Amino acid sequence: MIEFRNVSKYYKNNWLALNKVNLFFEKGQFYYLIGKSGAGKSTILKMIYMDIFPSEGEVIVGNYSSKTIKQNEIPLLRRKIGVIFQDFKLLKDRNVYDNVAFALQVIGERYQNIRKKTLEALSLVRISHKRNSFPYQLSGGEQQKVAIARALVKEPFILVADEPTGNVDPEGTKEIMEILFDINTKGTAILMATHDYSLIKTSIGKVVGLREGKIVKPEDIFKLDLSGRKE
Amino acid sequence: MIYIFQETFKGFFKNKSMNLITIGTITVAIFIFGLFMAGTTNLLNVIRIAEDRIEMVVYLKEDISEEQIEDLQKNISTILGVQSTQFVSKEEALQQFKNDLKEDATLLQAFETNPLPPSIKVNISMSFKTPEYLKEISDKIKIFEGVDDIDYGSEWIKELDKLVKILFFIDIFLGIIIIFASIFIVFNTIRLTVYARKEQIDIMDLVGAKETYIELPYIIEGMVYGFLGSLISTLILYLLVETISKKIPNIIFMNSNAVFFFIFFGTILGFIGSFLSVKQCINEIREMKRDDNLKRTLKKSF
Ligand SMILES: Nc1ncnc2c1ncn2[C@@H]1O[C@H](COP(=O)(O)OP(=O)(O)OP(=O)(O)O)[C@@H](O)[C@H]1O
Ligand SMILES: [Mg+2]
Repeated sequence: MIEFRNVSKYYKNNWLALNKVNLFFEKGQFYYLIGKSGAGKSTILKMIYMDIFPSEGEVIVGNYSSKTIKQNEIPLLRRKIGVIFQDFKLLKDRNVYDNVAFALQVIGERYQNIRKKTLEALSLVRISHKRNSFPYQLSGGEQQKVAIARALVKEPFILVADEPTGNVDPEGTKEIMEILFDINTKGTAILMATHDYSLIKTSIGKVVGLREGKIVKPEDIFKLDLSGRKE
Repeated sequence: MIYIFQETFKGFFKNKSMNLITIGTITVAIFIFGLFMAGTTNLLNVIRIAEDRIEMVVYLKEDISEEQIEDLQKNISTILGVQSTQFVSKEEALQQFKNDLKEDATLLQAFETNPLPPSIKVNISMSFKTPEYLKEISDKIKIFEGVDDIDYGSEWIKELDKLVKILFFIDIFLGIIIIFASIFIVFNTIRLTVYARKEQIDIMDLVGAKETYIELPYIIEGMVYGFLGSLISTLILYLLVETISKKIPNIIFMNSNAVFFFIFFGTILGFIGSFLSVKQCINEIREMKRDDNLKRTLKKSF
């Protein structure tokens, strides 16, 4: 479904951010991508929604390859991928409902469907009661739920999450994780980058370790005790 | 489609103060351009009035016969650039002279006989009213039988021609500066409004909006700015010219074609300005993220 073939990435200063990475992500699975700051997690995620491209190697997402995709196909690819960030990236000048509906409006969804799908997505992340609030009136956890709703409203096959709990308190983090598992149970694959290793200990999912741009065994990253953990 | 208009509408009313400043700036820029256009129109008008007065008078010998006059008129009429001819007899010339002098007519009592020669007035086509053409026409008439002298104010016309050339040069020079300045101002003003919503453009790009979909609301908004800016400045200009023309009667406003062109120009400026700004903004966002040495320009397929 998503495949990295010998992917390397150099940034402008010739910094090697990824070094011959080979990865395969299957449908409907839950993946953690763990590694210290600067390990290259965000770089991998950005390559999936083709915000950046490999310097060497190839990334394949569904029917698209980083080598052959055309500029006007990228929007079509992104409609199949939900993305959420540490800083939520909500539009400050519109309320919760409009923030989610926005994602459908800009891809030209039919007017009649927008309301139904938006309300469904809001209820899926349990934020319906705040649909008229503005982002500044919400806690970090609530804002992230709105961002998840916006990512899900297009019914993507995978949700890519870059440190989704980075700006969320423990209470909110627990809720966000529950929502992500919910979504996963319903069939959407999840790929979550994090350096909060405690999240992994207590939950299901496959773990991919990353250190200095190389794939490593998760146990090697930290003195991480994953014994007794089931995948 | 509904979305695009909604979004345009929202963008327009959400940031009222910023939009007013934008429209104000564009209005001022286009107004200066309008002042220039009105100035040029008036300059052309003055030149036209001056050139209208240019006429050629062919003075005839006293002893000329009626047949000769008829022949002469025919011959003159065939010359390129001559529109029409008109014979003025000695008596008519005297009458005209008397009318011009009015109360000073007593002066004429001094003459016993009519001192004025008969003449033929030659009307010249507008485009032949240059010193060169006038001389050419006059040279051709000079060789005809019965012609005594020709007067077309050659000295005066040379001066006028020189002045017109200088004025045109200054006008075109000014025009170029003003056009570029107003394009620059309009572009940059619209750019600011687009860049103020960089975040929104970024999010649209991330959720999979097509480029045209991202761009359209901004482009429509830019066109509305250009349209309103030029419309308002046309109105102000019109009122200004009206007020001035009460004091200086010969001042005219742009003609309706020019007004149409002017508003069209403003709207197009808004279109191009917003189109380039939003394209540049999208590319800047993407470049910034890629931030690599890969000159990977994705193939565009249409
Ligand atoms: N645009 C860029 N230009 C130059 N270097 C970059 C750029 N983006 C990332 N890098 C470098 O590439 C390496 C990997 O960055 P990346 O953002 O993928 O790390 P990360 O694992 O997501 O880190 P964090 O946990 O801090 O988000 C880092 O060393 C970073 O400094
Ligand atoms: Mg990161």
